[in-house]
Amino acid sequence: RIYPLMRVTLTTSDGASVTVSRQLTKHSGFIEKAITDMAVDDNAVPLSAVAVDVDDATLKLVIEWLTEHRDDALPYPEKTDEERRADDIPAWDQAFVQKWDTKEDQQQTLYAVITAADKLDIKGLLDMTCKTLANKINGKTVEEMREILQLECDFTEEELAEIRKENAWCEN
Amino acid sequence: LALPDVFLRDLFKKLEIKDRLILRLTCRAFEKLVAETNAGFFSVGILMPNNYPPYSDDNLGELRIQFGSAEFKINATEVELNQFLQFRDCLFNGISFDVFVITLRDSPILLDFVREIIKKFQIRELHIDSVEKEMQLEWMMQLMKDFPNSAFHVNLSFPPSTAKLLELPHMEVLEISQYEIQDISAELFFNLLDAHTNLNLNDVALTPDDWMSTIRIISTDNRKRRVRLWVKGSNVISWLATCGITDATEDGDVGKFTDVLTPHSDADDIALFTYRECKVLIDHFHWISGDDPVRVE
Repeated sequence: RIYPLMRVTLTTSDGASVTVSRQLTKHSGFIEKAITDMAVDDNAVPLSAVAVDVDDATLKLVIEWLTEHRDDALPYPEKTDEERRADDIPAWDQAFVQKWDTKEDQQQTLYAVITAADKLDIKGLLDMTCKTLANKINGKTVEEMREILQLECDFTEEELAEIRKENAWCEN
Repeated sequence: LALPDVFLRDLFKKLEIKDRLILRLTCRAFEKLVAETNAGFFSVGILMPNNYPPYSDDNLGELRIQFGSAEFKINATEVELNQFLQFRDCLFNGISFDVFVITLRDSPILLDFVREIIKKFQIRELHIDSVEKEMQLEWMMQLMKDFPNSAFHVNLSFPPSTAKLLELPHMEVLEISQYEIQDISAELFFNLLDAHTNLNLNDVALTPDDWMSTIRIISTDNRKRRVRLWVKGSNVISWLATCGITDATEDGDVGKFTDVLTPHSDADDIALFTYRECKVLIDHFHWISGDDPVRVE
């Protein structure tokens, strides 16, 4: 049972405390499990704080997303074979991610949110960020992909030439 | 880049094959990841010879393989086919298709290649196109055994023996586009109708009673089915007559047949009617059609 009025205090990896409604945390498999492990089933019972391995700034973004998605259906729909499309990100989510574009460390923020969504087991957020990154990569050159994914080329010129030769089977 | 493994595997399922090719070039870790991840779902894949006859067993010319928007052209020599199989292993460790279309040719090399390359595929509907000979039919049956959970859509462009046709496993769609052959007998037709969901046949020798039986069978079947026949116009006229539909029939309901519509001028060539849940469309049809082929479905 979910008690929407129940509030949960989360302690972040950098020592901050944030109190949020159970209505939001029900979307996090990690926090739900922690609460279940406390074996409380009454609104009136104060909960012990749940420690999350996410920093305060990132957790605030996660909570912002959870607030918008508090009424999303649970459980999150199972993925089907047809999960290829990445062009169906809701408008609010697109604007939410675009806000980070003004920051210099936009990529870092996206990766921090992805990691947080994974640690907190928030499937909807993980799926949305996955589509966002897929859209960023789609159609990019190798140099652009390295930049987006923050990768260093560790191939020799000969190895690159060999891979390009194999890839040449593909037209255009 | 320290992203969660689950996330990366999901991410790689959302990328086009062309993006995977480019990701191979980014760094060793991603080259490995491309090879070790599933490429996800594609609506259509194609494997077909890019050349038409003349070709020989040891020179099939060029093969075209299409995964989504990525198209590969390979010289169909044994050496290059084997190299491409190795390359496939560098590109993904699995892939799903709604429909995968294969065109076979008279080459055991090609058959081995086809079986090997689609081994790691998940295919909802395997579409085998233009089966031209008994040998290709045998190979087609081998391929079908490799995919026991797939639906099959087969196009036979030659007339196999009746015994062979009756051996065919259940098909979602069976097409026989044969020309210069004798009619498919009513007995064989009803066997095929019983065995397969959708049929597309030429020259079926059905009497007016057989035609009504066909309509009754389809109208009482809960499955969505389509039977498409190409028959002589004169046969269609006699079939329609058994339904009480003639060139003098006015549009509307005729006995048990509803929404009847027939051509009333040379410009019209379509007749339509409904019997219970079965809709019948007759195309390329005129009341003086003679032996010209008419499509009935």
